[in-house]
Amino acid sequence: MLKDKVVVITGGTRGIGYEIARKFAQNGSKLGIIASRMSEQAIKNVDELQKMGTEVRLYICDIKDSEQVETEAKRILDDFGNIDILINNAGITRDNLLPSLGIAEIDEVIDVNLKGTIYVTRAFIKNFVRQRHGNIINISSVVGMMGNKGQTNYAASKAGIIGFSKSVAKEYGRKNIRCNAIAPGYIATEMTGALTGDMVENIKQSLPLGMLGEPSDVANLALFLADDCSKYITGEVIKVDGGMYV
Amino acid sequence: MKDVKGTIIRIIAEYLDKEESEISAESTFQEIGLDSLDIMELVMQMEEELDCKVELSQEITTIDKLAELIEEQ
Repeated sequence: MLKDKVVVITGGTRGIGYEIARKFAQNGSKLGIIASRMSEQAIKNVDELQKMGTEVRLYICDIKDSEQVETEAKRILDDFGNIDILINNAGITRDNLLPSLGIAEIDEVIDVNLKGTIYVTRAFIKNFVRQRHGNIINISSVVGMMGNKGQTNYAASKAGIIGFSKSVAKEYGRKNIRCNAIAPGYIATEMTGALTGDMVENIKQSLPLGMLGEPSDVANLALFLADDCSKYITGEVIKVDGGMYV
Repeated sequence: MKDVKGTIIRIIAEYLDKEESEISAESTFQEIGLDSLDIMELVMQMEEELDCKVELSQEITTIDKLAELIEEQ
């Protein structure tokens, strides 16, 4: 069902985004990967995706810059003709206790995670309306639902994504456009790689399933939400968190 | 110069599956049975056909007013 569908993934060259890209490539989808900057890792990973035999294009775009987003979105639509699925995955963390958070760290996290998601969605929504179908999957975080000390900026940005997703679901449901959010918990990626061994042990012990998640746990849900087998699901937030927030 | 009002009426009539004669240019979009999302979609089509850019506002409530806005450009 996902074969030849055009999927745009922000932050698709590493972590959860790269795993999502791999899963869609395995299913024969065409990929437009948006990365914030050109890097050896980005080139290598896009190369790996291309080896899987599907059309993969890399776009460099700072999603907190609305003009860049408009320009690259137009380029993507020109290259592929249309897009079917948008996955807003790009996200950053700048963790600290609130008084120690610099204004720049607050702004950057809100700008990339929340405003970036809104800008990219805005840039593609007319395409979805015109073709009378579309599917938007936003990667939020369980932290956006339960809060987390040291992550006030990140939690606020991820909670904002949930409100945004539900609003898009309501605004465009009648146009056959679905919008859902995924709320991952602790997934083993570079982002959680910064945690010390002791911290990881403590986290594991606090989780009902007793282990960290893998990027593929999130990617599998993205596949489900992108596919017609979830066609009656919109405005939903689904946790992939090993029972962390129950 | 294209017939702006005629084009708008045709696009709306096609969208609603009605005869063009059934669409009054003085009626509000709401009276015609169009909501804000319908209008957004229709305006996208009008922009393409009439090669114009429409900035919708609260005051644009009828076909007449929409045609005026486009003709002013």
